[in-house]
Amino acid sequence: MLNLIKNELIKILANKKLYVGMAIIVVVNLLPLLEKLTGSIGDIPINGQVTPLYMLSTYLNILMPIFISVLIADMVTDEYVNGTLALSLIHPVSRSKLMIAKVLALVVIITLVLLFSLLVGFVLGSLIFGWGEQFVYQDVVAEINYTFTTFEGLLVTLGSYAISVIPLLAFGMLIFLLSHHFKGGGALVGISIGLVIMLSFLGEIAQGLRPFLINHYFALFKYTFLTKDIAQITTSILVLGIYSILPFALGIRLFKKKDIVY
Amino acid sequence: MNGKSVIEIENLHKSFGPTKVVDGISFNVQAGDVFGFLGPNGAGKTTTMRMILGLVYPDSGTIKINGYDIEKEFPNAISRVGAMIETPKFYPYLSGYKNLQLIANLHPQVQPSRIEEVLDMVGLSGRSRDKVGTYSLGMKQRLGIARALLNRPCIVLLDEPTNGLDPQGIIEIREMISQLALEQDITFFISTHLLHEVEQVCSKVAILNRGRLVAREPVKDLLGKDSELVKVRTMDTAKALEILQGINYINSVKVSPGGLEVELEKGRSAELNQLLVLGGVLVDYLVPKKQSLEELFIELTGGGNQVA
Repeated sequence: MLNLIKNELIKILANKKLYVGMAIIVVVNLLPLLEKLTGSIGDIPINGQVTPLYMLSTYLNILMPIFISVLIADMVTDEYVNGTLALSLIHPVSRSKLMIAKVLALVVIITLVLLFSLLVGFVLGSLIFGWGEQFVYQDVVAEINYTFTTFEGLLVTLGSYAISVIPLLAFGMLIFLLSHHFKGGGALVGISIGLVIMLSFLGEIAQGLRPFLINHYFALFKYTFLTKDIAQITTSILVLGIYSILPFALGIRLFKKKDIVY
Repeated sequence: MNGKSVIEIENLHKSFGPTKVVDGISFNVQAGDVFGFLGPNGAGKTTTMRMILGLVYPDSGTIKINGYDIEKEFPNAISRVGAMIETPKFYPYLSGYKNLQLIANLHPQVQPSRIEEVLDMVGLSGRSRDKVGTYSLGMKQRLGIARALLNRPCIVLLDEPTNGLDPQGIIEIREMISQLALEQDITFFISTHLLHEVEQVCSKVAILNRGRLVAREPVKDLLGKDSELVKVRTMDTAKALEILQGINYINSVKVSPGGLEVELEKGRSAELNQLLVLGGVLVDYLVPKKQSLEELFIELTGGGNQVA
């Protein structure tokens, strides 16, 4: 299994798309500078130590789902169509182990990219706004300020990034399931972006549906470290668990029965 | 050859939707064979190879490799198999070496030195650190063969192994296959459209047409039938035709430029010559005409002009 994960990581780390994604993260981190220059940042108390936490929502709702879709399109759909998926399967490797290795490699990459985003947030945030005296995070929607010491703030930020792997992985499992149905990575990425937009739209027009939509739980870090709402955390874990396990099990089942014709 | 069956295929069926691609084929490949697998486009060759490798599931029938059923004991069945299916596929953004390393990682017993060894065997040592995206088709073909040999297989399946190679490359691959079969006791199962290659390299051949096996014999038996073909060079075509009417050991007579083509029972050509000369036909010469695999292939597959 470790060798399969190693193979997946060798492929991903040699793929230019990973570095394009990381470059986009750097560019996105310049947005607060733009907001500062245009004055649209208002009276939000932003500084270097809190920038990564502000940026996390942007990553979770837009960048990371797209990034994950691109990665999975490469790892499954394109590999299938290009005939490289078959390369491992004509050796003593079970199909389920290969898929599990891909999922675990994805977890590693998501973690590394989030870590990179965190560092970029700290560095660029500090360069633009200065490190600052204290850690004040303002929930713009709820209009609540959360104030921490610098150390507590850093822990909250680290924890928030770490726990965000869970909803991203659950989203990844949905995409893994979809990836077996497409004959081109581009189509999968397009559908995934459409899915993200549709889920946001659905959540807006039918608020009653929100508890069932995966994107609602991208804010797991807020429930865990800011509002500390135990009921909401439990529901999130439960729903995300279902979102993870069900598509994963279905995906494995589908892949095990699939004829590899490319 | 020790006669042990290393690939056993029994009553294999596969359909894609309403299209029957493989229709009840059965054959064995024995250890040490260089087995040629022929058929026109769409005959079901690649699907059969994919079923042997566990990539495509048969609707019914069984496949055993080295005595292991691939459905029930896949890891054991596939552990000593190497394969190259269709145009060899690679990760173009990785070097040739890295591409092989990905496969070596799947076999704990394969040492890094083996990667260098197989690259050297196919003459790619000098380019092994270059990205595969920069390789020519011929180089990819060589790298595909190197990959198929990486895990020291006892059975190697090759689909069109000489595709994209120049004449010198084709000769090298042919020699390599013969050498590996002989020296390392590797059994080869080769699908190719180069029938001339099959004649030169393969010991046995199976011909597939529309999902069914139409021939399965040692190449020498397939080409050496009970009858033989003789070209009769003469100007007295009409007279010769008249004499040959109703002769019981003659199967067929065809007029060809400069004479006749006569298919007759094996070993009767001297009698044929005598018969014509005694009948007053001036025979310039008799030429035994060997039936090539290509002619046989066309005959068996109903003139399939696209061989693949």
